[in-house]
Amino acid sequence: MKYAILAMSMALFAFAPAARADATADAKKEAQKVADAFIAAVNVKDPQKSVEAVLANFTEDAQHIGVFGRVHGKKEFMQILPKAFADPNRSARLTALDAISLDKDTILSISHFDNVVTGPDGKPMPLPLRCTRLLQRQKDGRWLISAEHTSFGPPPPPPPAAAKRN
Amino acid sequence: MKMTTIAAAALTLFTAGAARAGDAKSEVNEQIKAWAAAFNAHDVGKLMAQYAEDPRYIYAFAGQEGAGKASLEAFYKQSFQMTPDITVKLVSYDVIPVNATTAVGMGVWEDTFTGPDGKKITAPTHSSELFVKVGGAWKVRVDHASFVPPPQPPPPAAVPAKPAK
Repeated sequence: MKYAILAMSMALFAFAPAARADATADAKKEAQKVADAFIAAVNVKDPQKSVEAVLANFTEDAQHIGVFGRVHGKKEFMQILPKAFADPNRSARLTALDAISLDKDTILSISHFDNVVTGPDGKPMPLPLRCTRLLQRQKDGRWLISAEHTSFGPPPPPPPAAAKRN
Repeated sequence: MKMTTIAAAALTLFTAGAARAGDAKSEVNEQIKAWAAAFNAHDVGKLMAQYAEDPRYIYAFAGQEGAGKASLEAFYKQSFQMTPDITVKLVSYDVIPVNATTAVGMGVWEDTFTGPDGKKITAPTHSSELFVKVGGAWKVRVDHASFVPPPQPPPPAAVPAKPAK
């Protein structure tokens, strides 16, 4: 029995890194789906439909801090987004995404977007954004954003070059 | 009797859950105050003790972004050298408990430091921290800070047309 427990512990220890890698891969896949749905929603031309599609990715009580100030829940989002989404030059593109699996129902995603908005001169202006999001799996299996922080900022630095092997 | 027992058990579970959420809120609030105290003392050692072993950070000034304690420690050391009088003041902080070992904090801050022209600057900033409970203590796993954007003018499409003369 003692050896069985030892063997099981060793097996768990041996498989732990693989399990972590799987969890990270799954987290990234789910975070990518949410980010893609969000981007597609932002790029819907009709402002009202765009807002509705964007908010479909958020929980009812989703919390936001950042470019829209401090927002508590979808009702407050509805007060802010229609004005922001009235911009005729509005568009967004995902440029980078990473995800951390916190548990089977919780993911933290770190992403970068290249947004375009109308600048002070009336012309389209690039607006790079960084975004951290807490994604939570719902009872129906969907992953929704329950908290997010968006901020202006350049894209992430390129990954360091692979170390040279001697 | 059976119904009473079930109701009592449900109430106990509900109360225990609410107590845990309350604990997380007060514990994380204390933790962020300790973070601010360490930051204002420019005590890099105490500051680093607030973080989990594998932190990620996304910061305000020039888009600094990185991972790992060594990188974050180097960032703080450089920041304190470049802005030797920088301090932060916590204006408000909301804690959103996620589960027994995860919570998100969202903060509104005021950062004060001397700018390149020698004048004192107080800048409003936002933060969000992903806290994870490690060995009974809440630690920052992901730290995101940003300047509060200035109010934006409405997009051209929403600007009412000038009245005709």
